[in-house]
Amino acid sequence: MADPVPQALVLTAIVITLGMTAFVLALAHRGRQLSGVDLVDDDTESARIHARAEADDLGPGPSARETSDEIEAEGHRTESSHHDETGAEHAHDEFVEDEDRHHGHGHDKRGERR
Amino acid sequence: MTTTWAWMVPLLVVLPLIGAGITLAATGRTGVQRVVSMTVLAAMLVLAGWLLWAADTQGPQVMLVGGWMPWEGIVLVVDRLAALMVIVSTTVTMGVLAYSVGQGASSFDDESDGHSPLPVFHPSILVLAAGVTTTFVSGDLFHLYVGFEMLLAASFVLLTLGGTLERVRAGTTYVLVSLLSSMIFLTAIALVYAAAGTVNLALLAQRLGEIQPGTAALLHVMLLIGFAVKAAVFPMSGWLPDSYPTAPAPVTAVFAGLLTKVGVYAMIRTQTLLFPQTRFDDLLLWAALLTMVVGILGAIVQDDIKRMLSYTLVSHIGYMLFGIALGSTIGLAAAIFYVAHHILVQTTLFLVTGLVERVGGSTDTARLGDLARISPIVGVLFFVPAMNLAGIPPFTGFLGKVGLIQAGVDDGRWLAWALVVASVVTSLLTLYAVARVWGRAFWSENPEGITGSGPLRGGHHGALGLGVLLPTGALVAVGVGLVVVAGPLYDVTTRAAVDLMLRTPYLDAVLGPGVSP
Repeated sequence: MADPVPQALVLTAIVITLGMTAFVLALAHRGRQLSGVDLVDDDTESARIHARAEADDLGPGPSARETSDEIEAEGHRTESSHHDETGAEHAHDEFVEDEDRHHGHGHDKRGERR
Repeated sequence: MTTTWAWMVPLLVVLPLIGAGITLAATGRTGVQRVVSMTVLAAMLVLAGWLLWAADTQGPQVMLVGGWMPWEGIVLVVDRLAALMVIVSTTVTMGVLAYSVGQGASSFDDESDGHSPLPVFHPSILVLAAGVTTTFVSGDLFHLYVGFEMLLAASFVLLTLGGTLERVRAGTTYVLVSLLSSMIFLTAIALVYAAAGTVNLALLAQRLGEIQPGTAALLHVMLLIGFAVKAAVFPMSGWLPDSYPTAPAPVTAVFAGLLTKVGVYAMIRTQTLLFPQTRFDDLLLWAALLTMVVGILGAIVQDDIKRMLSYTLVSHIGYMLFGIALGSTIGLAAAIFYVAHHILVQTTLFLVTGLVERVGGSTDTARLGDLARISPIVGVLFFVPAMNLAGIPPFTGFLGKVGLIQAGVDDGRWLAWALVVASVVTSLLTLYAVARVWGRAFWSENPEGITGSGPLRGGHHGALGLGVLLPTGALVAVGVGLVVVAGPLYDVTTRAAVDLMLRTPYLDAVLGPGVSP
């Protein structure tokens, strides 16, 4: 027969850790909400990587921007194929609009910070 | 076996949890919240006092939860050490709560983004108290972990109260470091169960001696690392000065008093009960030495009072570790005495810093000045615990340090002597650090030339009501009054240390007489 004690212990630990993870996620969300960026200000390495990402210079291979463009294009394709009959145009518009708003928001926040 | 007063033990945990439930339900009715919280804490204080008496005269009080035997279920044990820790922690929690009540509903409003966090303050403090008490009374390694997580969850909420950017950033460091140490501790518990087949402390005390020395050493070092992160022992102390100072004054005060000491308590318990061998004593002595010296070197260059105090907090953990690592009865007695002293004095100092912030509008000494004239009473309230911290006779800080130095000299090894020297130097540097802050904040010219015009830069001068002064004054008085009862208190800590070193009183109480080795 299996030992019930470790099962009880593991179950308890899982419950506790789930709660803690939820808190960490909430904290991360709040941080993102307040600062608008997930850039760590006093971490030079993070700042350097961020600068390189902005300059689109992340080493050999397809650049991050190209990759993200591809992914985006892929997303559009699948989306339109899914919504072929049920108002694909509408879904697409909404997507772009949402993205624009998001970008604008991010820039605003950054502007405020400086 | 269950002892006479054991029925009181679970109440120490259950009462604050019930209180937390009631205060949460009474959200928005501040009056009800205050009455419930203070009543619960007062009741805990009475119970803990009674239990200290019972543990001192009749031996450890053991509660078999649910009637399960120690090898099947959880046991709660209150010996002298646990009872003493509960008394001191409940006292400071009460003081801090009284302070935040006196501060009034406006306490967190001065933060840009914090208009509504107050309702969760009382429940969080009570859950914190329940978690701290759980770790003190627990006789089971896994239950100890659950207690840690309870107090951590409450401390996360308290530290990020209001959710401002600064607090979220400080909270992230604290949360991640705490979770990391919890993971190490949890892994260690799993390995302990795999190696010894139990997580009951008394049974482990018997069985850990029989398993392979290499395995036991691994378990030992993992538990020590888990606790050392919580206790902010160098080199695992870097998180503390970065995360504490941003919280509101009462929260920082209760954290500084309790959270690191819970780690110290867990170290005392495991070092004496589970691993009485001297395996890592030299390593711990080195850690104590570095904690003291590095901590205080950090403190003397800080301009902000809260940051300076956070560094002295780290530094003085070294004293307690010193007493534990010596592995002698007098060392342990002095360490326990020092824990009690330090909880009180560090909490008081952070509360007084809260007063300084209220008067001067800042805790940065570069922006403060002339406080001794503006508010002499805050000056007195700061000066007394600051001298106590630095270890000036006749305060308890002095008595604790003398006890530790005596234990170090008795030990006689060169490393112990090195620690004796380090503790004297640290004491002097602590005096320098607090004197520097004292001079700059209270006696220097007001840096921006604002004199005699009431509130300085957003400070609430004149709003320094009795509501905040009385609790702070009371804690200062308790800190000083500890000198008067230092004799009996030292006797209790010595008896506690003797029992801890013997181990048999604890084992007999939990497992029944004659079972222990």
